[in-house]
Amino acid sequence: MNEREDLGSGDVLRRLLSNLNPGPSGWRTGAATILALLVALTLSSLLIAVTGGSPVASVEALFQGSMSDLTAWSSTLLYAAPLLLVAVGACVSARSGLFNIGQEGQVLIGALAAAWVGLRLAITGPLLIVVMLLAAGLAAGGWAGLSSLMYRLRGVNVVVSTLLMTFVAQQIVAYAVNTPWLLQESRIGNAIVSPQSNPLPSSALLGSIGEYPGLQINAGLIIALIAAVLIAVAISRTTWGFKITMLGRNPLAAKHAGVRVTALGGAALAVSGAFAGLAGAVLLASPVGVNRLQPGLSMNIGWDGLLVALVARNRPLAAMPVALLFGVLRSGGGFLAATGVPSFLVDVVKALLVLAFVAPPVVVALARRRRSGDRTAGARREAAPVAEEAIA
Amino acid sequence: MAGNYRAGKAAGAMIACFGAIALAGCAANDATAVKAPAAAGDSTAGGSTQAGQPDVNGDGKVVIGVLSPGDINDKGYYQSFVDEAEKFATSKGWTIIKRGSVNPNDALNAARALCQQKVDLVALAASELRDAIPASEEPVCADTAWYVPSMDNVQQTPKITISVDDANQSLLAAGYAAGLLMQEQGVAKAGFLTGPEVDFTTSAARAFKAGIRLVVPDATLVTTFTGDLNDSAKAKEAMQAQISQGVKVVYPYLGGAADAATELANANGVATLTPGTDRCGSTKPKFDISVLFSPGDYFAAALESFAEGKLQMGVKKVWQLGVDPFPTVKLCEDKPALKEKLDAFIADVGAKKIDTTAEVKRLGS
Repeated sequence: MNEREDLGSGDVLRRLLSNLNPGPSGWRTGAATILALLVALTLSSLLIAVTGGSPVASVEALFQGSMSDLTAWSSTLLYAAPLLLVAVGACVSARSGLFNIGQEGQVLIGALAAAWVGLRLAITGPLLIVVMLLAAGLAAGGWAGLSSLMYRLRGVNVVVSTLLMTFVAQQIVAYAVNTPWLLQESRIGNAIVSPQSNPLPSSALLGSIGEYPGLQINAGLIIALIAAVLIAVAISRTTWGFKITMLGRNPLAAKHAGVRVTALGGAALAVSGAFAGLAGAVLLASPVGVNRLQPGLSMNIGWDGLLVALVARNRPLAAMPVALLFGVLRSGGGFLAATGVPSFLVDVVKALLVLAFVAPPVVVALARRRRSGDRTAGARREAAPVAEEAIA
Repeated sequence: MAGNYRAGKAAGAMIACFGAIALAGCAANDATAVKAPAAAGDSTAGGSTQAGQPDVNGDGKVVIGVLSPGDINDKGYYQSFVDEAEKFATSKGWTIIKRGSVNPNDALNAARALCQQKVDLVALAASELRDAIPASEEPVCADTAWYVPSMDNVQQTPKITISVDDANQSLLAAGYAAGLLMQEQGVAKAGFLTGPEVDFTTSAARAFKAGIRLVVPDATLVTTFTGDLNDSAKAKEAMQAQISQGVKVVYPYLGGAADAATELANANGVATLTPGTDRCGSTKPKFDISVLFSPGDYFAAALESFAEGKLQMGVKKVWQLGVDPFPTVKLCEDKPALKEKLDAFIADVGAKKIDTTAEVKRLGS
């Protein structure tokens, strides 16, 4: 089987993605980003006004729900942790030139594995939570690795397969929580049972520093922060990180330099999935949810985490404040209902913000390429008569 | 080739690893089950009323917070709850904060957010959001009343009032009414169209079938699960399939997709039932039987008590077919003979002459 230098993400997509990877950002990109942000904020305000709400009241509600007091901060930080974990994983795969967009499914697979360990394995003490986190990472890493395998064995595009595997993951989780012998909650008497698992035992929950309604720093956040720092260091200071970056920038050059392109790409994809799986375990075992496996447990954290990575331009450290911003939007979004603004508008605002951050570098790069193309064509036009004279 | 071999080995190792973990499992699922909910039947003893109701937190205004797991614009089950709350709140000059499509995994946070916004009453539109209940014990919700619907799956606590109905009763009566129409038309095949194949939909289908068979003993029921209560395209496709199979009465037990499916049924002369609300007055779509078990009707009674300062926490209200105004079933067309039979059936259920659970078990499988 011949080596595929585009690693399954498609060459065009890889080139576009490379514009989002860290690199020298000129003033043009900065100015374009500020302009795009202004446009996004104006459009968001217009949308809020059109739906009958007040932009000022909406911003106030967002602030109240996310930052006005310690309770609100706790909620924001709880949401930020899984977002950051997904984003860190997405940074790894994107830096290697692979576009994993199946985090939503990988979050679910991680949560499924963690729930199974937490509810069905007779492990006692703190070891239980450790095994849960490991199982979540392994299962989701393996799940993402399947896409790599599909590409390796049958040439299936990684973008397509990671996306489609999300729907398979959703069906698997739905099956698990609808099947009594697997993970469906126990029936008590004649009560109707819901498609969800029993709640996790207290020994399977992630601990917190501080307690609701005071400031609550959950272990999930600490894990996410450590992961972000470790990956940032690994990417910038280790041979592995150098190889990953080289692979993302030019797989052909990486191959010629002796990098095992397919193996490293597959590993990057698996690492990306493992972090999404960890996020699933955090969602399941932290106070951000209700500590049960449910089909909707992922709450779009997988998709949003991917957006966090895009906005952070695949920098794990930059993903920290961006995850916090997305956490603010999530926790504040719960307060929007009081202003009469539909809470789904938060998603629209999020999308506009992401576009504002993601579009400028790509647009500037395309414009630069076009200009250099024009210059090359102009140079060719100017050179042509000279060449003709020379030939004559 | 060597690459393929290595990849295959990795996949094998992964499967073996998962298998080993699976085989190591030794705890039973029931070991982590929650406690049994309160026993069936009204429980009004031991309840308490908060001082100052309806302005429970004493901030000079009354705010009702509603959380719904479904689409609050579905023109049916979920919307009825919000509509009722809105109608009542408006008449009293209260404020209402409504939030639809709340993910059950986000229920606790959503309830806390309402409490932080100083609502006086947190109302859950359905028991899917029951994991929000622990918030009622937290300081942030200390000055808040709680209203929780239940399908016998909510544990009573001193901080909440529970409203329960027995789906077996309303669905058995719905099936009985459908059976009467089928008997009149001389047909024996009915349809049941619903969303995901989960416990509450399969139980509903069983009860509906049992009700039909009380009238038409050899009746068959074609059940279709579209996977989504609100997907109109899937619902119409499933309705078309049922019509093609020759059913003449279909129960679109759906949410937002019920109207689209019913319009198709109307165009093909197939009789339909409403999923929870009274829509006998509707002409487009047109329904033949109204099955009333909407959470809004139950909530209206609770709001009346709340306004009077008499809504007790720590108690459970059980809504009985044939005893209370809701749940009930009514024929939309004027058919006195059928109406008489249906009313007699409902009265018998109310008088406990008919054991609905036993009938569903006997005829619903």
